[in-house]
Amino acid sequence: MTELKGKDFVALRRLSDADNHTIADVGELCDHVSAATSGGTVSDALARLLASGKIERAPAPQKRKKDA
Amino acid sequence: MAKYGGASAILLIDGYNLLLAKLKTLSLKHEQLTEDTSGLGDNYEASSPVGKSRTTLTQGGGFFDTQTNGIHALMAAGTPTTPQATPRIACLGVMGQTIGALFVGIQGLFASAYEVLGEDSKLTKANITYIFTGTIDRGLIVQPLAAKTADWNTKSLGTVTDYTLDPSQRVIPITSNSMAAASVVTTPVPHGLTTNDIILISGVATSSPTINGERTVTVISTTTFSVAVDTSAGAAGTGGSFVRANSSAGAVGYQQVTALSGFTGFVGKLRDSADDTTYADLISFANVTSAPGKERATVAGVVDRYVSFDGDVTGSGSITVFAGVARN
Repeated sequence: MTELKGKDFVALRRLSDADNHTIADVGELCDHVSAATSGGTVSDALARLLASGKIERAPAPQKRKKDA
Repeated sequence: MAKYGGASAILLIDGYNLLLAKLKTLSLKHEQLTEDTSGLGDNYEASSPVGKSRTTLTQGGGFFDTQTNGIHALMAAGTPTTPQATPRIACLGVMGQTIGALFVGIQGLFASAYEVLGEDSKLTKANITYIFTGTIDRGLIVQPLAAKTADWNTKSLGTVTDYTLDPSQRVIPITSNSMAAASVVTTPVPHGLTTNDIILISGVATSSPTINGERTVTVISTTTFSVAVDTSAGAAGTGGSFVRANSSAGAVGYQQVTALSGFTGFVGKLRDSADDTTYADLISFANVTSAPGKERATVAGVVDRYVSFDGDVTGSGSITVFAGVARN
């Protein structure tokens, strides 16, 4: 299974930690998402957020047009 | 089996805590309306459902009380006489003020009768009957009615609602699970799942590796589904059961503010989480600047296993808040 990385996803809802500190606002990258305290990896945590529609894949960066 | 008494009752209507009126009875009656369908020649009376239901909430024997936020203050505007009357929002329960306890949320209650009883040698009491004309939701308490003096969130305080512990959840038994790359689970009754639902399996014996734990399902038929556990080189399993660990049809949030002093604003928020570590905003209630206050808000989509309540206050003071979430 491909490992998911937070920088490849943007938040569709504000994400926060246990103390309600913001991890990612809507539209921001999810690179501060951490692994669940009960176990698993960051990739697992991202997979759960993706499955429940809380995050989506970030749009691919646009390539620069070549100078004419 | 847990038992509950009168001390476990909750009744909040439009931000009024009506238990302060020392109610003697609280009744929520839900009935299917039927019509008499018997006729000449029938030996027995017959009736058929007409496709409508009616819910009636009755609170009886409360002390007639004119104090602020008391029973008379709630009823002072009188019973509605026009169809445009504002619907009331009620939250009631019989399992006590505990995170994870069941409550019933209702929007659309209209007071149809307000009765004040004056008796010789007794304190004056009041009865109220409400006829339900709107939506009824059954859910879990996320924030029990409690006074707060600063920002808080129930996750930091140590307790959140866990959908797998919802006493109203249907527990589905498991007949067996197969030896396969993705073990196939068979249930003796329709499981009611859809692909990508998350469930919590427990009590399965002999399966190697075990399928117990939180699993995402792929539905095969109404009584079979697979989980991503490779038992092809291990052993099949028998027995056990599962409950849902998430829900996919949205939810309804209820918030009631029975007292507010000092603070210039308060925003309550429900958050949900699949792993109890990373939370996402689920429902944000509107800013409250005075009490009593009430709101019913909805959200679509997946609601994860854990739900927490956050209260953000502005200024200094005190506020008393109740909140709950009902999954569709």
